[in-house]
Amino acid sequence: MKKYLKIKYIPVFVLLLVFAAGLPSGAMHIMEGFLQPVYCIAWGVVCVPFIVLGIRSIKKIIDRDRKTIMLIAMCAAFAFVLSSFKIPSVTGSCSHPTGVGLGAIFFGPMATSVFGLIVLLFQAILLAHGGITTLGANVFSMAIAGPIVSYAVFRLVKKLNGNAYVGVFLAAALGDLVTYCVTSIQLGIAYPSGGFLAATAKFLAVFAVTQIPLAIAEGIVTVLIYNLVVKYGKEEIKSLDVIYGKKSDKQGES
Amino acid sequence: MTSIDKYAYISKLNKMNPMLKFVIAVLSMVVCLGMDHIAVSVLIFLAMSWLTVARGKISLKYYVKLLRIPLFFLVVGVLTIIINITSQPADLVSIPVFSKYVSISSEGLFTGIVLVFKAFGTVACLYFLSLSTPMFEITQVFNQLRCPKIFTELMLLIYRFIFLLMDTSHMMVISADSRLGYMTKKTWLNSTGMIAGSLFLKSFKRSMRMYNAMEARCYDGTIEFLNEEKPVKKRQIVLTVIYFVCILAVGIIFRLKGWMQ
Repeated sequence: MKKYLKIKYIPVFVLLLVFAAGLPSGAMHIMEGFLQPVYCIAWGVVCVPFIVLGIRSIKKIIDRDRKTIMLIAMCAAFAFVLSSFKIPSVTGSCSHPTGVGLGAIFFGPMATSVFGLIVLLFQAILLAHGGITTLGANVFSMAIAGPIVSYAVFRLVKKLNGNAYVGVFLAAALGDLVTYCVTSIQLGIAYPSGGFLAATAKFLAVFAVTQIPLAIAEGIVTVLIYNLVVKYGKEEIKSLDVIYGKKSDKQGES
Repeated sequence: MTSIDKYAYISKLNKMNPMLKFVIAVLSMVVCLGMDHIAVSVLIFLAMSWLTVARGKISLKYYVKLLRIPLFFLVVGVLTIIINITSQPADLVSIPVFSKYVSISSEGLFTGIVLVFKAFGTVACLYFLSLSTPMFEITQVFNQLRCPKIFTELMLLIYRFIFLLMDTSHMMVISADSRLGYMTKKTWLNSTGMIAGSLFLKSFKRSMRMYNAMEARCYDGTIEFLNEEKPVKKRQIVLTVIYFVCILAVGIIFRLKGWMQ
């Protein structure tokens, strides 16, 4: 057994880990160049139908009322700015919220997918978070899978007549968790050392340290935002109905 | 965050044709990932960094600072890839834990090292693009690539709004901070929620005001920019072709000979 234990390597890894813990952790964007070309293209292709549907729905909304393009653009910019806020996480370091849940609750998953794409593109170019080659994978996890789950959870809680705040918290937190799980799966598929399942489990375990506290913190912040918006923004919420394209049922709760 | 954008405007490469810059950056990424070889990655990293720092006159200090941004993900991601939990000991490092081994195989370690080089190669390409090309020129490139008009229009609007909102949120953060809003984790979360909430409402009012202002100036769905003609010089095309031939040749030769693999 002694043969395999090379003590001299261990301090190096401990040092690397300590070093990594001190760096600011963003949301879980897969960095530029991390995926092989096959997966870059494959995830891009998976995203295409969602984006096409999203663009079509936005076009329809804008044809009805030109003003809404401003609204949509402002919402996307808001999502970008929100993701630059620092929130404390339990481990002592700071994290950034993803804004995934909030976007889905207010604007629905369709529109969120399109402006999620633009926001992720801007994050890559302006902030160096994520990348152009990994854009497809990141869009799928953050702008498609996360928002769909958030939206479904929010709707489900509403249908069951649950507390709206519980719904918002669960939507935001679960949206974050799904994003993190999907990203881990994407990494597990790309680097299946020791089998796909084992690799995915490894990524899940490693990123849990930063992502689970982040999900809880983001859930709380989203509830606070929702509370404020519902309290003081009745008019604004009404105009959001245009994006949904139907009568909203958000007003009755405050 | 405003700084990358600022550097894009002051870069000496600003005079270069944006389409050419876009093609160089994206093709280099494709070659870097496709070749999957340390030598190619190093070459691309050096070429792109040289273009950005030496020709674009971006300060080296700032460039290094930018390169540190993706480090967290890179270190954690690569360590996760190379460290395995196996039932059999591997050839490089194996630490027995209960009945399993936490192990690193030389093969896995090599994959990790190649990945680090590849990632830095493509990140240099990304920085070359974002440190030399302002956003509105990137939207022009998208237009030329037949992107849906609505998409590029949204991009431009969002880009403008981001700076508006950043400004407002920055002021709100300062005033929250001066009222000890970030003292404890609890107040921190609370302040963040309040700032984000009021920012949301403010942005709504602003977007409506902005629409009125733009309509008063004959906005009809297209935002026109003054397009500065930036013709591609013959010399640039020749150099670009030479560059790609070189990296492709190096990649193919190294692959065929099996060097550094």
